[in-house]
Amino acid sequence: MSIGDIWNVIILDPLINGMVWLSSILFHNFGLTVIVLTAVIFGLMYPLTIKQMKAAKAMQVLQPKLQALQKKYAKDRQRLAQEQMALMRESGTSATGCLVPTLIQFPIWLALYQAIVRVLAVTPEDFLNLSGHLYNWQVVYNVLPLSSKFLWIDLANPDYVLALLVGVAMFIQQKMTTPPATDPKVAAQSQLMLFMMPAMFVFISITFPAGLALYWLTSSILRVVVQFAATGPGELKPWLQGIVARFGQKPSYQSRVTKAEKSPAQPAPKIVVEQAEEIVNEGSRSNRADGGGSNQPRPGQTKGQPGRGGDRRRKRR
Amino acid sequence: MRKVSILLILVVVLATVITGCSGARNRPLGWSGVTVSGNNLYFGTHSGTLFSLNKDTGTVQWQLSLEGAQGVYGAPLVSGDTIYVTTYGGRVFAVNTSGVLKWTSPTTQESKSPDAIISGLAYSNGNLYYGSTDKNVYALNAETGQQVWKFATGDKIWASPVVDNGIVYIGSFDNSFYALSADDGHQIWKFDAAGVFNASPVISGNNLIVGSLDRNIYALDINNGQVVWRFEGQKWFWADAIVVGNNVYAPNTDGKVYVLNASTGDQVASLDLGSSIASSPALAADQVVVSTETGKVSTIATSSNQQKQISDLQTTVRAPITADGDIVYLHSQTNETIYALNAVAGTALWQYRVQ
Repeated sequence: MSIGDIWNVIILDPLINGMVWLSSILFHNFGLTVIVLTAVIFGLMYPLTIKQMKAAKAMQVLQPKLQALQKKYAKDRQRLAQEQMALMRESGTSATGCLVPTLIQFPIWLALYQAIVRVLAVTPEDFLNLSGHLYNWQVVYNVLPLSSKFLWIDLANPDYVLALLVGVAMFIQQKMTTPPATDPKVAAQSQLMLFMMPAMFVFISITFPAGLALYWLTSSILRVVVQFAATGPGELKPWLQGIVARFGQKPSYQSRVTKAEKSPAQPAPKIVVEQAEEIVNEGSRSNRADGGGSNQPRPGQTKGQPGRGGDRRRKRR
Repeated sequence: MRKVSILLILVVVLATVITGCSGARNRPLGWSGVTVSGNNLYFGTHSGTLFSLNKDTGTVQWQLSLEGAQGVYGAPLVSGDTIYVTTYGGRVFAVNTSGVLKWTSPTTQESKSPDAIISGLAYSNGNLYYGSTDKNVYALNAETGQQVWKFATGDKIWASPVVDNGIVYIGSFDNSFYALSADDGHQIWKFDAAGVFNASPVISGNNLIVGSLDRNIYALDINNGQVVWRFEGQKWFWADAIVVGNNVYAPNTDGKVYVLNASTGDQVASLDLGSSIASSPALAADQVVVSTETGKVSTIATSSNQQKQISDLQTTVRAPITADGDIVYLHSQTNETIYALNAVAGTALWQYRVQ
């Protein structure tokens, strides 16, 4: 038995027949089938997802220490590796903690892509290929071929709107999990990652059948919900506050009159900026395992000189 | 930047693995059958070119690129001095036997993006008939290409029609099989099955025998579409059946050819060819010649129903087999090649690989 046969028997065939069967009970609607299947896969992978989120969080906390080690042992790669391993061992984190769930998702994406292409076959060749994967269930033979129409989408072909939605959902998910960085180099890298990942998936979504994009969209929405429940809005909070400040609080007639009388230098935006800075500072503090008390100076700050966040903390006390 | 590089590599690997290495989405290629007329063979290629070969030597007589065609699924139809062919690009072409284009339908000006045509053509009384993926059955004037009538079914049509005694018989993806008047397209009767119809029917006496993807092959009363008998296989009856004497030879994608009594539907024999059969068989020298999708060509003696493998082409065969006396012609899908085999000896006479 070849690897291809093993793949078909263990992964692809059950997925194809399961999807067809699921469609038969979901009003022959393949879009609903993809959404329900995504929820089922998400449910099965929930422990791993939670583990991945915790691992990501722990890595964020360790990041300043790891950077400090990198600087300290910049010329001794072997020592650097040893120290990094020791630090991770002490804190109970693992570099593979984030990677393993992603690697597990690869075969799922692969199988789902193959299943969608075969079940929603456009060409006679694709449809004929489906025959070899079907179980001897009468329902399978009565339901096929499935309609590829779902809402405005043709699930067998790429859909630009759905691709953009995938990008937006992934961006929100990324934004929630991206740690604030004080190091400009790290901050630039984080910003690049923040936009790169969603952009990549938008690109892939417009080249793949929309059925797969629907899986990614549903999956991202579920992850955002779980992430929100587990860790809150994270780095999305300043954005949300900004949106609320901009659209949520409609100024009353009196305040508008007052506003018009006042000079352009408004106190309200300053409060928002200060709030945002506070959140960023608190975020960076929490990310620094030492609570911001490291001896390493931040950019624009000389050694021994307290930062603004530190000042404010002392004032509060 | 290292993380970004890793991410980039992961995404590239993901896209490559998903689309490239494992069951990537096929583009339509086509599996046009070969049509024999006089001393020539005609067939359509994956690139949408109509070829004429000398049937004895396999040498090219002429070739004509069909505008907008991506592939050809239906076998060309020859009537008088004209060759008619449907294309996946959504047009019907009429070409004379010298390879000169006579007309296209619809014309380029008429339609900006016509729906694909998988169905082959049937000819009767000056009209051409075919089904389209736009869900309609069409009748065209064979001289001009002008539409005579069209009939809407509930879903796309891939099956080729058969015309007999003024009636057009055709199956649709709406799980229905239709009998339509060849003159004006009005519905005479309709039969509803549990699955899609992809095969063309064969007429045996008062019965019309057609396979469905609901795993059944049906014998329908030609007058009213009532079920006379049905036989259930393990998988799809994708290819057309063939009737020899009182036996029906029905290939199935489960890899078997079921030999059934044409009057009762009782199983006479079941011959296992080992892998899926999508190619419609042909009768050559009292033998049913059939090929698996993997290119194993076998003969079934109609007198004894004994099966014998005569060739292993080791290529994908999905196009219907064409017989001319003792010679059969096969059009392979991978490494697009036309094979001429002697059905009795199993020897290869010639082969022509499409460039």
